[in-house]
Amino acid sequence: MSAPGDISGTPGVERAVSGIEFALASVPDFRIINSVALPVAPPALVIGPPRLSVRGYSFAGTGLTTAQFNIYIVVVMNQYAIDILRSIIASVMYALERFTPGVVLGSVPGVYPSPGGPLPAYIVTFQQELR
Amino acid sequence: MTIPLITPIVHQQRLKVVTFTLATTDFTTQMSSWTMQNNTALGTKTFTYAGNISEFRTDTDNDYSLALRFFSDWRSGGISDFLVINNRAYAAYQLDHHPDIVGEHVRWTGTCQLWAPSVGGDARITEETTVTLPVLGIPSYNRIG
Repeated sequence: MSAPGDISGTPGVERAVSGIEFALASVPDFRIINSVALPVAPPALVIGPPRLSVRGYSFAGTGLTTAQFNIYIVVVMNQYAIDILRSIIASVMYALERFTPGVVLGSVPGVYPSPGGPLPAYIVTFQQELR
Repeated sequence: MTIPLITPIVHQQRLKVVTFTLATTDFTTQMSSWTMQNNTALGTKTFTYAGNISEFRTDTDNDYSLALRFFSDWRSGGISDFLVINNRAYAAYQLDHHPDIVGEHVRWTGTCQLWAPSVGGDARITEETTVTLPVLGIPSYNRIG
């Protein structure tokens, strides 16, 4: 049981993250990274901290209702970066749609601000109801 | 001090997976929105001289309709073509709600009347076909699994 205000231990969020990790494990060759504090060794899938929202009347510990994750598909900065991003994006979106109860809202190309310099990335926006 | 928390965890789902057929043809892939509308009017409030429980509402007829939005498909047999060709015909529908979630898979079936949709829209916008199909009687509701 988490203490009041401690969302890191919120069961709904933890369950959502482990569900995403399970889904992304079906994407070959990409390591899954769950912390934005670590340097990223691409190719990697980074599950960012979720934006959380609260609706409804029951904010008693686990009243969080929705989590929105940015999932970064991070690849090495070289001449193949765009090719790899283009070839992997469908697998990632499919894995999330197929193996989680959440929905992929879309995906935008961008960069991942790694400590070693920005890396080419796709940023997938993923929403899931918490329960 | 740790406050003991009572955690009534909300149960909620995204609208994500359905299966929809019209006249046994599956149009789920083209569908982007659906609503099983209950348009039944509220009866007139009426009183008698019987005392405290004298108030009642007159009975009204059931009136349901299926409000649907599709990405237009004008290929032969596509949803837009199908609705225009079969304008005013009666067709069986079946809508499976949450078919992928054990314990929440429910189904509506029945007969609805097909209507040719209004066609057109703004330039450079994805073409959509929106119709509201009147349902005969009350949609049959069944729990599948």
